[in-house]
Amino acid sequence: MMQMLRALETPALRLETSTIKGVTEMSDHHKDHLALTKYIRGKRKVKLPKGHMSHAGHGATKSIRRQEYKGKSIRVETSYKFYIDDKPVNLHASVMNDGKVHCHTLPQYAFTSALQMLRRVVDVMDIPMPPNELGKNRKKSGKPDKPHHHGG
Amino acid sequence: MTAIRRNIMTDQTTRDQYVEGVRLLDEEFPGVTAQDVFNFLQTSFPQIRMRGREQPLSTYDIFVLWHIIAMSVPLDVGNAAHSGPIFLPWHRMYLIQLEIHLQRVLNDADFGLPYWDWAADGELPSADQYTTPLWNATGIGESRGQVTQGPVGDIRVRLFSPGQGQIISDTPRPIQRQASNASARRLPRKSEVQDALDATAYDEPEWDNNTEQLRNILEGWHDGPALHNRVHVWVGGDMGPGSSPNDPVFYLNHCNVDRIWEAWMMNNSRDYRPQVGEGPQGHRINDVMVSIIGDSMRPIDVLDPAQWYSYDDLNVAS
Repeated sequence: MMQMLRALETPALRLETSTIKGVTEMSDHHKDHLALTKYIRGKRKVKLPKGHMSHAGHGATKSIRRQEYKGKSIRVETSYKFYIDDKPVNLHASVMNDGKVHCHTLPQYAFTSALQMLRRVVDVMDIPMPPNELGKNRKKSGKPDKPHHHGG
Repeated sequence: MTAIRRNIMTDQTTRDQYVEGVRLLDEEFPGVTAQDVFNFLQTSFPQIRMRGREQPLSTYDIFVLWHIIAMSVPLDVGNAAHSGPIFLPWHRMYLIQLEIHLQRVLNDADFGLPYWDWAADGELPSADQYTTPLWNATGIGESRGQVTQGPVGDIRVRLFSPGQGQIISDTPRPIQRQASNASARRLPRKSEVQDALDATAYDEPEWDNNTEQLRNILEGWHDGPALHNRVHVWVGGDMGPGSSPNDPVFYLNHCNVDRIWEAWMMNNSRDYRPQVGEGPQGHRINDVMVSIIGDSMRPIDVLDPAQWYSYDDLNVAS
């Protein structure tokens, strides 16, 4: 029966209704979390935290390290400019107190040198780029390439 | 009844449910295309650039998108999900949402995300760490190269982030891994988990990746890459960039990170800092956390996860 219900419903409908077992056993609080597309479709505005910055500059990155040492306040300011094939790259890199460098492109990595970091960034960026089809007037189907994938 | 989160290495039923659940989420298309996301980003996150194929996106892809977006919202310290106090509560919110959707597609309201106790594997010789039963067709697929085995082998990467604020809508391809690579040969060890448990506070000024309290040790910046960060680096491949949730290992890693946080919270009065009026904005206990699935939550909403789940075992360092 449950399989029949699922086969009859379109995926989009299934996400907006709460008819399948499991979902019906959830609290109203849980059900409210099931709508996957309300933000993307603009039905609800995304809340942003206070202090967010929508633009973080381009090209240059500066980090400041401060410490107290023997009653003195010491400070190290480090500026980076990154280029790949002479084009500036904004990596939001910063230096940690132990001297390691990290950037948001590789959010879990801590590198012993900025050159090592840039080599790894090139590795990540070195992918075949698909042709750009976005930002043009195109018909939106919202369905996968494979026909009848969901048995409908 | 709330979900119980179990060890993926010892509970085959949970393991089977998890890989089937993520496969179902990756094959479920809720009617959103890359063009829809492009339009949404232009309106709500103009600092994020997206290009590539127009194609339908799956529920699983929308979770990947959510992580990329959170990483692309810079704050005075770190971003809206990393490199600051918000790291642990944001990922708790994120995992709760995934767990709810896994419960839905599995028709099991009691399903709990499994955790991967990577520090247990970290006690093995390095060469044995990427050949455990986790890394095969009955687990989560191969540890090196293209993932083709088991249900995870059916998952396709469609959204990829080659840099902060950049999204490529790519030709669907299998997940890539490079477990035990030159950047991290071994997994974290139990003694390193104990170092995190020994922290006396959740976080402290300057609230960044230089502090020596729980959040920063567990995130893995202190003597890093360590703990959470080291697991990302050790797996490599798609676990590297901001689109790392493409690999279901992401959630196993973060479930264990959350478990370690919960073990620490049980012994530290559920302490969270920064409280109201201190520390950097976007990380405070009442600040909104970025969400594109479900309602936004605040750190204070998730400090006690009892309404959603519990862990079968909080002996995280033994």
